[in-house]
Amino acid sequence: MEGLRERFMSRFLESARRRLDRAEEAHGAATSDALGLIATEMHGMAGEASLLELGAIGQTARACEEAARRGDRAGVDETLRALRAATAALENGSRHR
Amino acid sequence: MTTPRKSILILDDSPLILEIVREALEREGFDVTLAGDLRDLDRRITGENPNLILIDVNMPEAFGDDVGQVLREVRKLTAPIWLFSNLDDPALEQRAREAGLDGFISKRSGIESFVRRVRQILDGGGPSA
Repeated sequence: MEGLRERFMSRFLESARRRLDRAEEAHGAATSDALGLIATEMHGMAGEASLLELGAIGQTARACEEAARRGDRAGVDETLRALRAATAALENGSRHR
Repeated sequence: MTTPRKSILILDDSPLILEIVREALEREGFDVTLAGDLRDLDRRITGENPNLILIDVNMPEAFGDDVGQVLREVRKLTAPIWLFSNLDDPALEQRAREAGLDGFISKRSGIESFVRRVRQILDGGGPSA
């Protein structure tokens, strides 16, 4: 499975950015289905990260999903910020190779 | 005479997940068919006889365990049907069992573990992972 993570890193980051954009938009709009949308996006992101063995990002995305499912907006806020920072760091790391 | 390649049909709403698993499994010598939604699945499963069907659980249109149950009970498919998800193992195990499916593979273990598990299943391996 050598090279799979590197091969798919840019696709993962692109997907992560889109998912985070949609989750943050829903979080800001605070509509009745916002938390459901956030949970869906974060569930997807967690799966993609886990499969590529990006364990920390996968765990944080799961934590965000769980926060959204229990209605914990502060938890959603904190984990979305952490995910944005983590993906930015990954992106910077990729760029400097 | 060459041994026919084993075939796998995978349903998942994440295009990225589908591409990753396709590449990983094709590198291992499997034939892979992908479906991104139920209509796609219906098109790809008609007339096909995959050696293994993997279904994501949380999808926009339906839960994968429900889809698997329909494939088994209504479409009468006999191929092994396994759930493939990022849910935790106890939740996955329960869903697979209650739907009468053959097992589950967790996305949490990463792609190498996933490929190993698929190979075990197709070589006649056990129920869950």
